[in-house]
Amino acid sequence: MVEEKVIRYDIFQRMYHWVNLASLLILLWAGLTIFDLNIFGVRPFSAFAQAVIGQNYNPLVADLHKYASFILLGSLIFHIGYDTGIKGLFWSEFPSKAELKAQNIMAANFLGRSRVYVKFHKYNPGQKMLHIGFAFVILLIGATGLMLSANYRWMVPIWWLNIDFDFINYWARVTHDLLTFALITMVIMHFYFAVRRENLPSFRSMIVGWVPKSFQDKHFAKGEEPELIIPKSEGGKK
Amino acid sequence: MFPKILLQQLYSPNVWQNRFDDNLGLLIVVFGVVVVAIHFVVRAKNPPIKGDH
Repeated sequence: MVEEKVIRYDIFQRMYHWVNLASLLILLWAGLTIFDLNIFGVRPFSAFAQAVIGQNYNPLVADLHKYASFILLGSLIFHIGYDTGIKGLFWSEFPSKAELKAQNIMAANFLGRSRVYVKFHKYNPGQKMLHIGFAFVILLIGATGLMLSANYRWMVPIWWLNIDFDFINYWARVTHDLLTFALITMVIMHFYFAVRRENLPSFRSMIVGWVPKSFQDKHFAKGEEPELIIPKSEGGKK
Repeated sequence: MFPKILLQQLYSPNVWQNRFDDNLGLLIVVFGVVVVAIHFVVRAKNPPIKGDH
């Protein structure tokens, strides 16, 4: 018997996701090399670049960082244009009141205080908040990155204000760096939840586009409103 | 006023030799790893969908 499929991500959404990942990995590698990460005297990124590229590795690595950032910027513009303009997604990416309320039930389930489980439509409020966090952090990393670049700082209007150049440059750099570490942390969380066993079909759908209907019915609500699943021992299904 | 004074205190004119965010960055990443580790352990005890659903 052929299993029924439910489309979760179309080809453009999947391509966007993986282009995003590729450009972020290049940005991360090149960025940590330029930053010359130094953890208790160990400098793995600059040592690797010296071994592979040579002593004068900075211009090449800086170029890679710049090109990857423009690929990411283009990819983000495509994402916003396609998903809001063509797919009509915007407000659904913010957690609703009902979803936030249902998240409390999820928290009780997580802590073992309740066996009631919640099915959300496509994303749970945690995922939606992580998505908003990604948007916020990437926007700030992008803006501070442009401010650090002599060629592109004109794109950020703060340079027209009467504030000491070195002072802004310093804080743009610190913000850029610290938010990058926050972004790494968020990507680790995103990856962890993606590869959890119960989420693997969702992860696979980011490659093939669909999930089996049985998985969809078991894990996701049919409508926009969250659905409660009450164990048989506590009165069955709602 | 206070944040401005704090920003001035932390400011260093030699921007490329400031290393205070290396270890702070490491702490941020370690925090994230600890959070997912806690989630992993707790969910191992309380799986999200129990058998009798």
